[in-house]
Amino acid sequence: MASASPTRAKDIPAKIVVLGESAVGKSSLALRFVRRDFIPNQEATIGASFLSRSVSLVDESPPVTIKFEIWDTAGQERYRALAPMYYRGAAGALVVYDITSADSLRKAESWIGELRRNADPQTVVVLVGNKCDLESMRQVSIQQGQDLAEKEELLFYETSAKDGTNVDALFTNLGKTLLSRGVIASGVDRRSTMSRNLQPPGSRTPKSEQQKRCDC
Amino acid sequence: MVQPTRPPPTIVPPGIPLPVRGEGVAYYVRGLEDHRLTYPTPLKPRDVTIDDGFRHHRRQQSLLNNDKNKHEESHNELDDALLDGVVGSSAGDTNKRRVVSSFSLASLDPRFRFSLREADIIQRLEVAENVVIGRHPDEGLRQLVWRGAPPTHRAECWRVLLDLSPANGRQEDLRHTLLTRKRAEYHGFVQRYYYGTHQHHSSQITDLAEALSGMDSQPSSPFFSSTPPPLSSRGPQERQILQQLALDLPRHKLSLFHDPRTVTRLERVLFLWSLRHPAVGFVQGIDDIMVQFFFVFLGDAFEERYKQWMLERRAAAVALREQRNDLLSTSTTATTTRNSVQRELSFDDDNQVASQQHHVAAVSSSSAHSGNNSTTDTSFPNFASPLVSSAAAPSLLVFPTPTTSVMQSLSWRSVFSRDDAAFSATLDALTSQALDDAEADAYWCGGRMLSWVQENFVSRQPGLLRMMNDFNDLVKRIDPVLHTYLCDEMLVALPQACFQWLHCMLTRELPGHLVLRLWDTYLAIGPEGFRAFHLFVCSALLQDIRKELLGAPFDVIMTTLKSPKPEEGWALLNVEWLDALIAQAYVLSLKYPTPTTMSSSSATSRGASLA
Repeated sequence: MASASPTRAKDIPAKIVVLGESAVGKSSLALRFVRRDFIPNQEATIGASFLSRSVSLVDESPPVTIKFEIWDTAGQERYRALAPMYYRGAAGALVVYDITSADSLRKAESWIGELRRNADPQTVVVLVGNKCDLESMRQVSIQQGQDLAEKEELLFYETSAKDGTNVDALFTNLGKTLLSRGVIASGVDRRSTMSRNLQPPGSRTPKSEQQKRCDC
Repeated sequence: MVQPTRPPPTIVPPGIPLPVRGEGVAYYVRGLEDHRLTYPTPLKPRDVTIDDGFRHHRRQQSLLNNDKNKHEESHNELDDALLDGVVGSSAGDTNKRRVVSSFSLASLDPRFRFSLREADIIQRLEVAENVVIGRHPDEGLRQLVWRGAPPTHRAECWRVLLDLSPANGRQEDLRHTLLTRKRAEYHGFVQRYYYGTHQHHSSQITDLAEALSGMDSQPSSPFFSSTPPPLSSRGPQERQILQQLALDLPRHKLSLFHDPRTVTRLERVLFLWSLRHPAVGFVQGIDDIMVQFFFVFLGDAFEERYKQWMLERRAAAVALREQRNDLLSTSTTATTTRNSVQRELSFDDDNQVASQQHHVAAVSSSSAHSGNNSTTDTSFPNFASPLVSSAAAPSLLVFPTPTTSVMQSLSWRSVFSRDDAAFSATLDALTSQALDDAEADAYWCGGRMLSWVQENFVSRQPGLLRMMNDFNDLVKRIDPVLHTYLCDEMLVALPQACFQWLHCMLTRELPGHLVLRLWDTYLAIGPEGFRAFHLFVCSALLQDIRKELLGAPFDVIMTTLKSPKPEEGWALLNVEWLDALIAQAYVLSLKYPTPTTMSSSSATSRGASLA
């Protein structure tokens, strides 16, 4: 079946989920990374979006290409019930807040808690303070973000999806961390990253789910 | 000295002055071409669509016979017919209306012929006009709207289907009274709950008040306050709704979400609906559904304003002609005056109509004026009388009318503008009363439709999960090959990938005017069957993009499902495409009946008798 995928043999798939309060810039961050584009009026995401981009890490030895398969989720509370479908089996999770909104940092903390409780313990979590181009409206200091990241042992970045600050660096570094921690490695069947997710809670027979898990 | 009894025909065109004649044509064919048809530019057949055709096929029943002789009528008669057509539709009297536009078009361009589709359009328009004047029984209306309401009559059709207007309201004034009452009721809600003005009328306790009983009490502010109280003074639920709305609404792409006059109204509608439905609150996606209703009723306001403006112009033109005749017959000496009048009359540039109107007023202050000013009702039947009322104030000249080009561009499609400045200019043409009415109608109709799909939005979204499962099963039955490839080989979780299709009722996947057409069918089917039918429409859409999906890699599949008809290609989607999609969905619903569609077969079968 691998032949049906365009993923080249050496590409290492990495499932990444983006979580956070609504309107903090999750979709914009993903779009900036994948399409190098910024849309000022980005409509609220319904459900989730899927985006992917391959990045070559040339300073690794041997050089590798990671294919980031990004699940950009909806931020609103009502959709929270759907989130486990997306973060289950994820190699990395970006928990995004908006540096101009202290509320969004609190929401990020609750997402981190939920990931700690329910997600794969191997999942690498990155705390991302977005909209760092809006310095004049800042409500969350860099120090606050760093403190939270240190306390929870997370990677931490302040980014701007608008001007692109740190976006590529964030993903490159995430990729390196995933490799160094052995969360992803070449030779893994890419289907395994897909098969474990997107089963709506309680809507499937456990049998079929188990069957799919056996693919891993 | 020459006695000029008639104007020299070489200088003064026959019939009514040219700009208005041009407008008469433009009124009926507007929408056929986005760039306007100017008399006597030939019509391009490719521009005729089922959707747009309604405009120029008004009142055509007798022409179904396609009397060839009429095509031979002279242009003078054509002009008069066009003129009468405008007047006739204003008078609202079907019998007296002259049948004009299509044969006019036919005589403009021999390539124009009636097709079966056009005959169908005409028939639908007949029904719609009966609906608007309150003569049509509900069942006939559902059959009509199932196949697509004429865009110019959509607002009234939706009002009837969603119980805002009575279905059998034979009396115009009764309908009007009920509508006025409902609008006033809504604006009472706005004052009390959005602006927080608490006038404790114990006699007016509504279910809204009950819904709010658990709320924190709000500080009272002056009645008819125009600024909402600060967020901090609101209860937690209200605050949550308003914060989410403030985050979400401006992020939409259309200009309607960026102009304060419209976005505030939409916010009020959504706020009140969410307050009234505390189990739902505001969920992202509700705005996508509710705004469709605002599109329809605001679009209707634009249409009404356009008709009103047309009549004003016609009144000015008639006055101008009378003035001309008066001048020419009475002034036996003033040759220079005559020449100047003739020069004025020979203007054919639309933008010079205003100067002609000024000329009329300057020459004779007693000439007829179109009496409505910006603060009064924009409704259309008021316009017959000012034509003969010489006592009316010269409000035509002080009306803060946007430029002619803006007025000409007003149409139900104006609501889909993405040019903020242009949209703001079109909004200037409307009175705040017209905007308020559109807001209230959107609240009642949109709220009704949302209540049909409420369980899609409540906590854990049970309705949606059920739809997702049903959709998955349906695709498996309809197209096992595609389903196997997507779900078993590529491991795409199909219902999740199509989440947005189900959640927002395809509002984000299709161009705005097609969404309204699709929803005509949904509203005609009604609350019992439309969700099931929506799954068939989604299945038909999946069939439509099947080729792009089969054999495609995972990323391409996901991207395609996320936006099956990307915006760049929206120009290629027309109403015929959508009609075919709906027809396909209907066929699928017959071939693959499900328990849910069985119960709603009475609804979908309405389409059968029409097919």
